[in-house]
Amino acid sequence: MKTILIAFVFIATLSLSEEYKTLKEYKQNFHNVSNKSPNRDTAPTEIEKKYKNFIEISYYDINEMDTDLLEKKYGLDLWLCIGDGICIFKAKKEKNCEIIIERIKKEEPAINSVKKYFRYEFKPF
Amino acid sequence: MTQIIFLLNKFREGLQTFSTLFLALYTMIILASCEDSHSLSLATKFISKKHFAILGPISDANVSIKDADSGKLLFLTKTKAYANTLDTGSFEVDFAESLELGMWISTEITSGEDIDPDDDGNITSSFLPLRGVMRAYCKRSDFNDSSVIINIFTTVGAEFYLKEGIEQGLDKEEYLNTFAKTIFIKSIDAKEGIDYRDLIAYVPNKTPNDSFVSPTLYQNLLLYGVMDAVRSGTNVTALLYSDEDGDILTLWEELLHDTSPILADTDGDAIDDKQEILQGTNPILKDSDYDGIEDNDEIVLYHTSPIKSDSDDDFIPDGVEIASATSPLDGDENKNNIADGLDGDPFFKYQWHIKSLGTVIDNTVDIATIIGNDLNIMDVYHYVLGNASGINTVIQVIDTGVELLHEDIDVDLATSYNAVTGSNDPTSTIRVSNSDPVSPVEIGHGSAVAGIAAARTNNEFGVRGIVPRASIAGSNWLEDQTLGELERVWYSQINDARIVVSNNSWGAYYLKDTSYERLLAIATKELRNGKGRIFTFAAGNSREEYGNANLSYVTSNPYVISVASLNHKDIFATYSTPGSCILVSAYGGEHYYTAPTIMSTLLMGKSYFESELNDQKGAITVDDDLQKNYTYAMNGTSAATPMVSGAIALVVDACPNLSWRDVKWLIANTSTKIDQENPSWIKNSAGLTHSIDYGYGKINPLQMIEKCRSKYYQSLPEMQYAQKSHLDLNTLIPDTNTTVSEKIELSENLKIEWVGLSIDTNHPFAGDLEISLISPSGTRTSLIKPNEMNFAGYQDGFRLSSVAFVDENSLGMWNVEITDRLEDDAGTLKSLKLEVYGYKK
Repeated sequence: MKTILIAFVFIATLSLSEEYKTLKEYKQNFHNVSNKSPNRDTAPTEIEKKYKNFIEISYYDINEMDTDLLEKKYGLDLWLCIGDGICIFKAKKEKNCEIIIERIKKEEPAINSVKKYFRYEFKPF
Repeated sequence: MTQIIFLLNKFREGLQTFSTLFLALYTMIILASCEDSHSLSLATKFISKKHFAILGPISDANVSIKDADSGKLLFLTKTKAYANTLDTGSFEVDFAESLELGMWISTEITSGEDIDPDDDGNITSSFLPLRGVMRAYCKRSDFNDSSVIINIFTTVGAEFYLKEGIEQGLDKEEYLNTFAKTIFIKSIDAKEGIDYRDLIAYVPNKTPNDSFVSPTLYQNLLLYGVMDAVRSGTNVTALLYSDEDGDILTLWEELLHDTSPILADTDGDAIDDKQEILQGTNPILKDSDYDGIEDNDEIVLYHTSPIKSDSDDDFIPDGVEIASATSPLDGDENKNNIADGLDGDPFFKYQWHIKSLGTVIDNTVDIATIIGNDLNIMDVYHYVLGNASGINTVIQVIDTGVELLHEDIDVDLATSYNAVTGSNDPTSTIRVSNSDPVSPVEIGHGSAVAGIAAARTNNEFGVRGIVPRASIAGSNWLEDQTLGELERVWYSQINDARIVVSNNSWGAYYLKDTSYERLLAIATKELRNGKGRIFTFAAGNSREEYGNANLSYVTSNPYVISVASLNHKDIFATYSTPGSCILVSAYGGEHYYTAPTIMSTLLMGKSYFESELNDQKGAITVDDDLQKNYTYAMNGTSAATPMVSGAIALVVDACPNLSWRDVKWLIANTSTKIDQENPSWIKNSAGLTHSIDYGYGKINPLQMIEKCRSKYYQSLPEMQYAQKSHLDLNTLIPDTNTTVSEKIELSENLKIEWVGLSIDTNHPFAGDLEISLISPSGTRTSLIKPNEMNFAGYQDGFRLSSVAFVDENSLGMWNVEITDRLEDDAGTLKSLKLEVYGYKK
């Protein structure tokens, strides 16, 4: 009985391995850390270039928003606030963008997320 | 006396709401049943089960148990007086051992006090004395089998039997079984048929509305004085036989038909209630067939059928025909042997997704469609489509743009937006290439999507949309893709309440960003006068790349309807991305040149034939599209999604008060299960079947409309949220195909609409992991399977979601199973967070 069980587990593992064979090959061939499928175009678009020094900040609570403080403290210009507690700022110097984002993450607990305001590569399906 | 009043007041203060009492009462009844099941196995001679007298409940009343045939008194007891013990109204019976189990027992409740006369669940009004008699007939064995509830229905049934059953010499059991069938449409205990035992099992406010012939029956017994008559001791049957409004329907008949006992013509359509019942029209609806013409006008003025919306079977409802001055009694007015409603769209014959004729309609592949494998939309046009036919409906298409000047698309300029130019012309700003044959298909994507949802019908041009006469709010947002512009079209600028549904046939393979759902949250909460815009999203076309709709937050969130794609065989298309967050399916066809695809609008004059490609394969339209304004090359979940959007628009046209959540619930409860043998189907504990390949199945707008128009349908209560996190887990996920399990207990009990599971793991190759979620009732769904993610995609938390648990209860222990299916890497599970959106019932 034990032998049969071991054989069954072995066969099941083999069939599973077969199912994901292509994935294993893919994993071996693409070692780079990327969030894109290998077939995707990665060239920046005009709109991505246009918004390259913009930062998107989301608040947990819309009442906690203090855009003046952020502008003064981090050298930002408020560009647009949209929806429910999401504001977009323009960094005065592009090269500071990543540093500013990291500082805000550490220093502003009322902020839910802060990231570059970039264009996702949404595709028509 | 003062002492009694003092005690009563003390008890009243101690019990804030009567609903608590009812809950406890119900629990006691259940417990009593369990207790008795046990005692039955020992002996039947001593019964300690609690039975109840309920109008309010009736406190401190006399209970007489008699032989129903001889009238001989067998047992005398009292119901429990009102007290904090919460078993007010209960009593116990100790029958003599010699009594036969099959003998009929008459139970009579007299005197005592009704402690909640207005039956509102709150003990704020005065108690009322019981001066009449509450009755119940049942068998001796019923006292063993379950708690016997003496209630308004047992009383009315007994009174009718005493009045007419005995006079006519009818058998007691047969009479009461028939009486129960006039009240209930399905058994309280679904395992058995309806009989007299459903009467003695009835507990007020616990039986679902759809168990009654009339959903308001119980409330109306209270409203129209039947409860009062029992309490005051007036003649109950005389009251129930009365006909105050003179419409030749007794009060009891009015209550069963849901009509008003004080208005002879309840719906005010100039036809008396009795007449409506006899002729089959709805006595509480002026327009019984929803075709836009009142019943009496149909009969007297237009000579059309008041119970059939399309009297001449030409797929155009009577109201539309009258409004457009065509004949509702002649289905083929131009005598060309084509029903009027199917005339005027020359390429309708290619639209197998609407009506599959079982013919070869692809000009390049010799594969026929299959009769019956379509969206069953024709029956919607026939029987239930309202007068408007969608003419007041706007469907938003956010895409590559919608061609403003297309002959077959009605663009609503007031709600359209060009995200590049800022104008209201939603036409794409990108020119179609003369050299790249793919260019018109890519740039015309939005126009093709728009045509599937709502190409205009009967206009002598091209194709027809799912909705015959809706308009399109177009946007070319995909040419911009910024969050700011999306906020404009989803919410702040294009906020016209006429937009029922927003179609989004686009997405990403992997997206971890909650910004989008923050916009969706506010749009579903505020737009459409608080009922919310309904958002549909294409699940994606990456099945062959191991894609999963759960990898993108735009398809995996509480607010959207994610759509999978079917081919002509009613099987998921080879490209259609699976996912536990998928709610429903529609037709997207297969890869072009392998099997039938979808006919729709494209860009004017930009399509091309085979002959234009030097006879190479690649035609995108059929040869008879001489002006080259259409395409047969449309496919993908992009094509399936506007079918769902169109279907939803039809449903909301029929039931305008539906909220976005109601629509999702209706889809889950009505979609058609296809590919039945597919092992991905799971049945949840609420009886609904879900599949990561199909959602709840193929969308079924006809069933959705029938359900939302049912007199039993109720919108969902307010949405509630519950969550539980497990932090600092530090559980190793070994690289050995070994499953790691973690349990999360949820203490809130919601009827589930959506479940999210956020997982935080540092596993460097997130795509190695297979993750399953098992609900407290044992339903298991696959949240994610191994995929292409060759990075730490779940680092710092990534949320997967499921709609597979709709209508299950959230309370209890949830189980998460994580397995590393691909060798070479391992990781640590840091935390889990379970979130549930649902409602309290």
